[in-house]
Amino acid sequence: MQDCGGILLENRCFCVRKPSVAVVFIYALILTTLALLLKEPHRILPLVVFNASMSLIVGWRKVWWLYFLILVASIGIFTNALFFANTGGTVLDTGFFVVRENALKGFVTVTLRVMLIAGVGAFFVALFEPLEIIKGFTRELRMPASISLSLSYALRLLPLLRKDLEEIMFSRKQRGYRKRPLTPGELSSTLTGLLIAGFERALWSGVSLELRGFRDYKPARGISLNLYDVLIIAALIAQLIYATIM
Amino acid sequence: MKASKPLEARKTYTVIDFLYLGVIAVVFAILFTVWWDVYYAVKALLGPIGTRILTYGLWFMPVPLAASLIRKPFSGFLGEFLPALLEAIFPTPGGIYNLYYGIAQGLAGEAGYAIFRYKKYGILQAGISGALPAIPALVLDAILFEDIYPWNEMILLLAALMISGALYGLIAYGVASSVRRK
Amino acid sequence: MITAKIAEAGFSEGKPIIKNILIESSKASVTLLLGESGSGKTTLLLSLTGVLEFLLNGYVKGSVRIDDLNPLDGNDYLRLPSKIGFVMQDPEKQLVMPTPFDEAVFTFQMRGYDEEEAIKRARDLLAIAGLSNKMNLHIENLSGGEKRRLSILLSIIHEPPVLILDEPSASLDVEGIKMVREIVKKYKERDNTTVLIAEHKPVFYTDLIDNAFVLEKTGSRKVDLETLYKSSVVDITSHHCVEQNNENSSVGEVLLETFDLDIGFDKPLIKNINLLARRGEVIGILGPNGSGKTTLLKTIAGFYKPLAGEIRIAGSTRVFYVPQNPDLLFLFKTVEKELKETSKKTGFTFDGLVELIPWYPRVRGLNPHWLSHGQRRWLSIIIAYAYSRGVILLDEPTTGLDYVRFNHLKRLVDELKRKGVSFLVSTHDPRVVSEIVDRAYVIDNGRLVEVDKCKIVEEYYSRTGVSA
Repeated sequence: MQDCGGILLENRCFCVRKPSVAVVFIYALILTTLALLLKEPHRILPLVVFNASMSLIVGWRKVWWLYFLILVASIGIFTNALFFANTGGTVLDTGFFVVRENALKGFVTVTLRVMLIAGVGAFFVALFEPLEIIKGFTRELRMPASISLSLSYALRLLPLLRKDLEEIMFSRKQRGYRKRPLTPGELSSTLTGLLIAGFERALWSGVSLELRGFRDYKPARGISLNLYDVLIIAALIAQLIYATIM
Repeated sequence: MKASKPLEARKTYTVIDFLYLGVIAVVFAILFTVWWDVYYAVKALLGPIGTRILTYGLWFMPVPLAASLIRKPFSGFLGEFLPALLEAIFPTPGGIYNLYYGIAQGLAGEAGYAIFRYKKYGILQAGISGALPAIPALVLDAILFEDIYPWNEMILLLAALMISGALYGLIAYGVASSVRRK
Repeated sequence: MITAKIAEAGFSEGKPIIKNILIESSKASVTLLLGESGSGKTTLLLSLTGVLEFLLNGYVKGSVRIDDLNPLDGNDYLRLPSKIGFVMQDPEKQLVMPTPFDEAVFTFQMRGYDEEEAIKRARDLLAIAGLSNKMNLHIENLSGGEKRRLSILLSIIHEPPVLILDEPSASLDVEGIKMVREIVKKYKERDNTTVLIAEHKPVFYTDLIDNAFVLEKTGSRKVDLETLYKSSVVDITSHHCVEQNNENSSVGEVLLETFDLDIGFDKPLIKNINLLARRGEVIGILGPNGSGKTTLLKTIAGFYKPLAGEIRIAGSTRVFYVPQNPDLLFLFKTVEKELKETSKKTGFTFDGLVELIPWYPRVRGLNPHWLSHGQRRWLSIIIAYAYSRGVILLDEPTTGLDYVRFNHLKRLVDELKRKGVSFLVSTHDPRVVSEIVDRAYVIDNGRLVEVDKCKIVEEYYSRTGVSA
């Protein structure tokens, strides 16, 4: 039983059931691997459409900008393809440059691959909050409690360290230096400042945990599959079959 | 209890070590997002090779940094793996693929300390450990961008990445010395 | 219930931090452990809980008994958490989980409850703490006081027989101190428990203490309470307010003035701020945690944009902000380099800076991060002075400083005041208000109001339940 077995919206729990973290993770993992192995655009495209849509349906606010980023990156992919794979029959002759078959195919394949990876990743993070994922990994995939602690602690520290970094950058500016650390010396001093601040907290957090009995901590383990899990597994199998057979 | 402690203590992780890893993970998770801008800005000026030499090493830096700070087996690996895991659970373009990089780069960097039997955590180890992750990084990039990846340039890119990694490994060692004495 | 006989203990063999310790705290008593910063109070607490040895790779030569357990024995050490409640100096550092709910559930699970039970108890605890509506928000959404309340509650949920408090009033928040006093009082009433408080500011607990030990470099010694109260080194009496004598002071022209200033983010935190600071004056900005003190200082320094209104700074005066954590100000690998670079950027002579740091020769080659707490504060203020001989903003400069170090800081501020600096100090430390501040403003309900500083100090002590 989790604190909210459904969707957490504005601090209230809406009891809509969700698939299990482990199932969706393995789904995304398998499809990510698949993306790397596929070579034909026509095999990748339907998968991209399906997963991108799913991710947008589940949480478009969280992930729409990812696809925008990839669109921007695709320009770079296109340029690369033109430079290094521009062979085969002519497809397009603009007068300035010629686009040939293989360049176009390469561009499309790579872009689709990237989109598929981003798409399944987006689906995963659209469904779950980072903390949910950490708890899911611990419970369902038996991630060790210590690693779970490291990650939860990282999440706990995130706003604090962001503020520390801002203060470091402001102090730099005040003292008449470049705000952003770029040279090795600057990077070094910034990192040192951040780490020392964080480590000091960590030491005392550790003492407190030790005295609260962390050594005895055994997280709950177990996984229970629901209807959504079955659907996701079915979708996975369908996509695998499609990709290999078509 | 006391007689065996020093040796044992050198290898077992305490709860504080895991919290330290958490700190390293979040610091790099933040730095990584900021550093992309730097990468693209420099790329506009210096082109792919020069840029990689100057900036790419940051992504390998967590390995020598974590290892130099914590000095226990697999601390380097975890130093690289945990930030990657964080990237995988937040919305990022790399998605789950970040994990591949994290694991592969982490293991490669870890090898830099394993070959010294985990007895040395000095500046040489940091440099090697910063350079080694370049190999899986390049391989994973090649797998993803296969069709448009120029094989002849790969050697150059690999060299650039390794140099960068080694440089950032040295920076990592410096940072660790400043932090550890505290 | 606590007996500690320690010949020596430290973080690495051969470098003892404490020696010749004999401390006892019997049933139904509250024992005070007194000592300056750096005297080893915390090390002692870490030693007698076994943490120094088993977690931090330190060593302890001696014997310790807590209730029926020997914390220096590996097996007993593992059973210690059920017997001890340990409240740290900065309870905020105790919180490891992103949300209050997770922190509570996690703590209950560590205490042995299964998940379902832990969740139920967590919800109940959060309700008692008044945090039900915030329980799934990130912990940073809680105010300082709420975080403190939560940490303290989580330390004692298992009703341990032994309560150990490390500098509980270090944070000086009124609500926090009240809460700690209540808890200590309740413990006193039970006869099978004991309380050990390590403090350098026992002023808040004098009516509760049964016996006291002083920790010095040569060891510990028991002191009787009469002598304790007469000590001038110990922060045991409430501070009386020093009325500033304005007649022959060197208060000069107005350096900084704000006109109907609004500060904040999407919503204003404080509105209509009209304050002014003159050369040679120390202005105190008081208010509870989260009220906007830091935001105000940072807005004046130019970190944030004002939401409305104006900040006027005289002529060529500069404003410099010293962060609450001075570590975030340092940029170089040695103290010497910090001063040299500062000299380069500001034109202030290197020798002039060195003069302002009496202990410079000892530390010139050290990394500034390795300096002691007090030294780091001192250095950060010197750097600030080099940049701005006009207005220096100090954010909570006295957290964690014992009375001796506080006096050092006071001397530095006085010296700089005489050289014409105006200070704006955000604080909730009554010592600062009594002895350093000339004029005080309080943040009250989103407004900044000038107040009689001595009244404020009186109020502070009475609200925490301490008799003058």
